[in-house]
Amino acid sequence: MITHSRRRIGTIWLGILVFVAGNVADAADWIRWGPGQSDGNRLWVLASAGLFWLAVSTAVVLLYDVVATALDPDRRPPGSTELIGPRPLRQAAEWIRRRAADHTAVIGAGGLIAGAIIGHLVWKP
Amino acid sequence: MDRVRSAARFGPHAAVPLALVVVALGLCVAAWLRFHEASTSACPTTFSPDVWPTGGLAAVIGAFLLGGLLGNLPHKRLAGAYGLLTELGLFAFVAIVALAWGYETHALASESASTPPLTFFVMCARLDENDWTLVVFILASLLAGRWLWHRPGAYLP
Repeated sequence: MITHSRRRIGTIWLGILVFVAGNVADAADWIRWGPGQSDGNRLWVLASAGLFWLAVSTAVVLLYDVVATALDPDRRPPGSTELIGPRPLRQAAEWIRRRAADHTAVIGAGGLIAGAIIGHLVWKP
Repeated sequence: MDRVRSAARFGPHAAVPLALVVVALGLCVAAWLRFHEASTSACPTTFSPDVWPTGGLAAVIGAFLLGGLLGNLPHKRLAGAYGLLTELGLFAFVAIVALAWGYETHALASESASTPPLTFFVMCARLDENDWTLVVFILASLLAGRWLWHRPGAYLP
């Protein structure tokens, strides 16, 4: 049974809130990761922190799925083609999903090439 | 009913994932035994770029293409729920990724030699264990190809 519960949609919004609030707090320096946040490394620190908050917000939604599945083993979270969301975003998300589905090979190869170029030219440990 | 569910969860189909988990744990233990006292003082902080395509690059690109082709293999249509183990595995994976990004951000911002960024350890691994580094990059590329270049393929009857 696919579950489109109000609680799950609420949890997705909680994840979005965590992502946005975390990035705003980093950009405003309310969260201090270290001295590099204020000097020439600022862009890299904020980019890394952005991916950290993305992972945390994803984990929040997945934790909800773990608890919900433990309580109801027959439950099935919606797949990418079944996701529903707030009305203003739904049409845009659907358009992007259809275009992406038509050009997965180009997107995949583009990501690989872009990653190789960025890694080659920009990666500075 | 619970026994049927338990058998479905831990049936023969679980052998390959369980074997992978055991191998991964074994590799972690072996890596810890071998490298837990290793010094990072000799690790490089940069490599001079190689402008020519290498065998490693060809292998990684080949793995990406192979990952995309794997989607064409016939596979079973999922009839029921994904199961608690799948959900737990996904959550654990993303939690580990979050921890890694948290450490990377802290290490980048601290600018301290006592907390080097993960990319520094990648350089160390590349220097000391070139073949294992290539294996990891090939596996990551295979997964990326399977995931990003997904093809629906055919379902088994």
